[in-house]
This record gives sequence, structure tokens and C-alpha cells, in this order.
Amino acid sequence: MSVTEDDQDAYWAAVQARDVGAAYDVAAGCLARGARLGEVLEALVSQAQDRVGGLWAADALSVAEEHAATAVSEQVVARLARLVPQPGGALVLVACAEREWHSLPALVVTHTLRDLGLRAEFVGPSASPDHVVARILDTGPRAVLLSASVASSLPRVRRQVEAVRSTGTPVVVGGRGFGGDPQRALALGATAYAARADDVVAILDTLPHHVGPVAPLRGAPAHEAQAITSSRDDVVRAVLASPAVAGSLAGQDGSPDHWSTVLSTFVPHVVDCVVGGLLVDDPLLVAAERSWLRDVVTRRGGAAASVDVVWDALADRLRDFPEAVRLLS
Amino acid sequence: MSISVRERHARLLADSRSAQPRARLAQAVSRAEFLLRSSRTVSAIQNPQRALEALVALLLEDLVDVAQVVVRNGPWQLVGVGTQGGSQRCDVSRWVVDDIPPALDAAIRRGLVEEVALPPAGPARQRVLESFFAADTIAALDRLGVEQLVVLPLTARGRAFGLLVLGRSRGLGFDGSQEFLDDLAERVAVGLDATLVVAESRYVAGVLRRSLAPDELPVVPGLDLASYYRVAHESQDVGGDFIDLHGPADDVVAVCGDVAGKGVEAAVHAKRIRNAVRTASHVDRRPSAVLGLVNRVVVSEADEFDERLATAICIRLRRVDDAVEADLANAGHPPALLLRAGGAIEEATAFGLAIGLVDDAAYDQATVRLGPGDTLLMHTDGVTEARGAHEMFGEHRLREALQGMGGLPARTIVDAVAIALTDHLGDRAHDDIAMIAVQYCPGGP
Repeated sequence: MSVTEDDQDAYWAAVQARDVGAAYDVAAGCLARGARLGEVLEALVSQAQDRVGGLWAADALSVAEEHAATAVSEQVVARLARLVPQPGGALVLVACAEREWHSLPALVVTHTLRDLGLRAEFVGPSASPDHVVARILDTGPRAVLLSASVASSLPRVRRQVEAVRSTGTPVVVGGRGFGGDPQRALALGATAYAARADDVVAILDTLPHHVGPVAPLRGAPAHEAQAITSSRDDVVRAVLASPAVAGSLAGQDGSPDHWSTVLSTFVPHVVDCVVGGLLVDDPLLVAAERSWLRDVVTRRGGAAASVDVVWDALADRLRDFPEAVRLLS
Repeated sequence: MSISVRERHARLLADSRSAQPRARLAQAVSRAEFLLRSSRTVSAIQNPQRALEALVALLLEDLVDVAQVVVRNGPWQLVGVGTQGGSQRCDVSRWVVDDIPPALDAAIRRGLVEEVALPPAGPARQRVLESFFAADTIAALDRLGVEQLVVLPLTARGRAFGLLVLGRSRGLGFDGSQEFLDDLAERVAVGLDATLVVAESRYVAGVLRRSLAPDELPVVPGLDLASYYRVAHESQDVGGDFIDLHGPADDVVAVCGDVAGKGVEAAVHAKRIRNAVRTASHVDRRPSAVLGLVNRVVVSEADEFDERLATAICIRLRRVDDAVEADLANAGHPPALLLRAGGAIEEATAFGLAIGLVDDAAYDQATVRLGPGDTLLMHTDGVTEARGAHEMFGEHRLREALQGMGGLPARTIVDAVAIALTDHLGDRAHDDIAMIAVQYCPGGP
């Protein structure tokens, strides 16, 4: 083990102090002792990001502090990236799901792959299907890797998968949003699922060179998913305007760290989670979002019941969609 | 070679002219299915290189033991080649310059179907093969004992632009399959031609886009820079917003602008204005002078058919003691926001008419000082006018997104706005959007 706990502590201290130079020195020191780049990125950067996310959820870090901590790791990764030459050979494109701005996980994957000898290019955070397809047409990659950090991205992952496969290109998905479950990935039409960046190299060898278009989703859950997506804004508005929710959120001060602000900004994500749960036909996804939100709200001094109020209002608004109601119960 | 590959090939290529009607019907169905598959393969994959690879793989799997596709597009020649049990690859070269077998060149020019009987061995065989293939492919052909080649021209829009060269292993030929192979060549040609047209127009758009918003901003000592650029019609890849940053490190000119209209026409006009800004900066670097000159150029070139209206904000950055002094002039563009390291948000703007309205427009000039960690953010109205479920993004949401971001890296600040903006937009269509942030960063970036 070339990255020690001391290194992790030193890196975390540097991140908290917003000291990019010190953070970089820790990472460079590990590399100098013979650690692989992928290992360093995972043990230092990914771990620190997990910690940042956990502290934000626990209300120990404000949104601005979260941005600042993330910025340190982004700059460290950018500097480390200069040490890794871009290998030749078949190209792999790495993209984040649309509206996902957590580019660090995808950047970690990109640079880990380069270090393992694969030519990898990061398409960018929040990549629209049009943008990814444009890059595919221009570069003709061997495969596209799609990263989804949160479960509410799954509906947009599906759209990306449809777009990528329509160009005949295999698509490998991964990231927290899949909750470690390959079934969710395959249900969305991905060619393969990768739990870790290191797995991608082996997976690429098993991929077909060309894939057909994705089969349309059929069945009641998929139909409900489609209907809810097309009225997403109305659903969100109706939930926020329902007397129970409006009453429970009343009197908010608008600060981005207040529990009521957090809860109301997460309502669109909850709707997306329901759609995602319908697409992959997995009730755990919505249940996990609920318990996480309860935790976030109570840590900020709100009542867990205010989350239940949102759930009830959403179930009421979606009462014509039995599959969705089942997920919310 | 496995039996199943042989059987698959035979299903499509066996000479069935004297066979039972039932067998002939079965072959006709198989052939129709295969033509459909090959059409789909070449037209679904719109990257030329990948399309050739896919086509070669398909041909080897279901039809032949040797397949070579040669395609020309502009100065480029793509060669996809593969042999049964051997390698498959696709190479790109410049056919005008590189050494291309002369027979290939002649065959593409002739554009006729040819059947080439190969001598069994010796220098004569070698000579014929060398006129079509590279050395490693020839070795594979010898191993397979290929006795005959079919050369099929790829023709679209009255122009032969490539070739399909097919061969089968020892003892197998193409008798009775001529019409089927002609059909195949026609389908492949139509599909590849469309792919090549798309590739060419994407190439043109790509060149234009890079000239409007550089893929990467230059590295300027003492300045931390970040930008964001999205066009309204993403499949077109170009729009009417532009950003640019140029000049020596101690006297940088940055510009952010927006021309009326969208798409390619707007992009061409934007490119012209960006060039005018660069040229004017060589004459007189004061932003008020730069915009005045650019305006005169644009007005003098305008004609009744062309919309020439544009807005732009132009900033000149110079190091002064322990700060950066930013002179700015504004031609009808949204004001720049100055985000202090401590978090305060100020507006930085000056009065001036949009470019292209009147020929003697004068531009005021204002000056702000950037201390360490202070950031100037310029943006186009695609940011504030982005439509949400109820209302536009607006200045207040822009300022909200900047709360608590003072002193953070330029990239983080731009991303924070972009995050708020995309959340607000949801799946709704948007206009061109551009942002550029400049932060004084004495030690870095």
C-alpha cells in the first residue's frame, strides 16, 4: 500500500486549509514512492470528496465550503494530469450525465485510464446527448463511458445511452448513481457496467465493436416514466404549491444551507428518482433517496416528517400512476 | 476457418442459378437480409473510420474471407481492411501525398466492376496483389489461397469515390453473385457517402467553432481564467456568441460578445467581429478605441440583406503594483460583474451603443482595480435570459449563484453559475450562452 493513512490525513488537512500546493505535494509524494496514479486519485481525491459530501449532508460544511474543498481537488487533479501522457491507440470518451456537475469522478476515471495505457478523453461535465454524439462523430471512439454520481441522473443516463448507441458505439456506465447494481445499468440499455476505473480495461476487451440501437422500454413502469418526465415541471410546481408542503416549508430564510431550502431544491431530484426507479424497476432507489434526505433535513434542524410530507404530496400528484405510487409508499 | 463461417458465406454466395426454386428463394431472402444489415451498419455509424471497420467486420463474418474498402474524402484516403482469421484495421492517409498503389488509384478513377484472376504463385501473383494491398494483407491472402478478387466501385452522386475489394479462400469464387454484389456496392456507397458528407460538414463547423471559442484558454501568468460556451443548436456546433483573450501577458485584452441571429451565419459574423477586435487592439489597445473602430468597420461593411447588430464588452488588463487594472468599454452588452475576494458583488460597465447601429458611435471607458482573488465575470444575455419553468434566469439568480464564491478559483465560479443555469433551464431549449471569468491571482494559477 503506497498511499498511507498519514497521506490521507495530510491531504484532507490541505483540502480543508484550501492549500492546493500542499495537497498536490502529498499526491506527488505518493507517486514518487511508486504508487499508481489511479490508486492516488482513489485514496486521496475520491476519499476526500466522499468526506466532503458526507460533511455537507451532516451540515458540517456549507455549500460554499463544499465548492472550495472541491476546487482544491480539481486543481490537484488538473496538475497531476500534466504528469500523464496521453497514450495512443483506440479512444475512449468519458462523459458525465447531463446536468451532473460532479466532474471529479469522471476526471479520476479519465486519468486512471490514461495511466493504465488507454487513450481517454473527458467530454466534460453535464454533457448533453447532442454534445456526446458530436464528439462520437468527430472522434469515432471504441466506447463511451458514462458516469452518474446520483440516482436522480438515471433518466438522463437513459437518454445518453439511447443517443450513444444510435451511433453504433458501445456504452459502459458506472458511478454512485447505480448503487453498485449492474442490473440498473443493463436495464437502462448500457452495453456493460464498470464498478471501478480499473475494471474498464478488462471490460473493453469483451465489448462488441459495434452495437445496435437500444430496444425501446416497454411495460407499465416505462410508460409512467415517460408520462411523468413530460410533465416534470408541473409535477414539481404542484408538489411545492400543495398546502401541506408549502406550510411545512414556510418561513424559510432562503439561505442555501437552511433545511427548507435544501428540501425544496431537492424536489425535482426526487421526481427524477421516481422516474429512474420506474426505468430500472427498482423500489430501493426511491427509498434510499428518502432516508438520505431525512438525514440531511434532520441534521439541519428540520423535522424528518417534512420529507414525508413531500413524499405524500408527490404520491397524491402522481395518483394516476400506480407504479410510481408503489415506489413512493 | 470454422464450418459455420463457411456455411454463412455459402448461404449468400453459393451459385444457385441451377438450384431448386426453394433453395433460390431461401438465398434471395438471405441476401435481402444481408443487404439491409450492411445498409444499417454503414449508415448508423457516422464516423467514417468506425463505419469502415464495422463494414469490414460484417463482410468477413457473413460474406468473404478478404475485404478491403477504400474511400476518398477531400485529401484523405481511408483504407479499411481485414482477412479471415487475420487482423482488421482502418488506416487514414493523405492520398495526394502518400504512396498509394497505382492500380487502386486507376481503379477508383475508372469506376468499373472488375474480376481479377490471381495467378497461383510467383512474381506475377505478387505483382497483382501489390497493386491492391499492403504487404501484411498479401501474406494473409497467400495463406488463404485466394484465387480471385472482385473489385466493386463505390459511386454516389455521379462520382466514384472508393472501392470495395473482396476475395474468398481457395477454390471459392463469385459465380452467379454479380447482381447481388452490385446491389451491395450500391447500398454501401450511399451509406458511406452520407457519412462522409456529415464528417466533412462537422469538420468545417469544428474549425469555425474553435475559432469562436478556443478549446482551451491561454495560460497567462498572474491570471486565473475560465470560460463556458454552449450553442443553441448543439448539433450545429456553432453560434453567435464569442469570447476571446489575446495580447502579451502584461497587457491582455479580453472580449465577450454576441451577434444577432444563431447558427452558421451568426458564427461567421461573430468571427469577423472577433478578428476586428484583434486587429483594432494592435492599433490602439484602449477598449473604447477598440470598440469604436470595430463599430466603424462593421457599419461600413453592412448591407441591406445582412443583419449586423452585435453587442460586446471589451476589457484590457494590466498589472499595476499589487493589483490588476481593468479598463473596460461596453457596446450594449450586459455589464460585467466584479466578484471581490471577500464576496461583495459589484457591477462593472460603461455606456456605449450596440455595434452596427450608427457609424460614429463613441464608447465611454471605465476602470476597475482587481486585487488578489478579485474576479471579473463577463457573460452574454443567454445567461440572464435563460428560460425556466416560470421566468427567466435573471440577474438576481446570477448574483445568487455567486454568493459565497468570492476568492474561489475562476473555474469554480463559472461552474457554479453554469450549475444554477442548467438547473433552471431543465430540458428547455436555450439561446447561445457564453461566460468568461478573469481573476487576479498573483502567485498562480
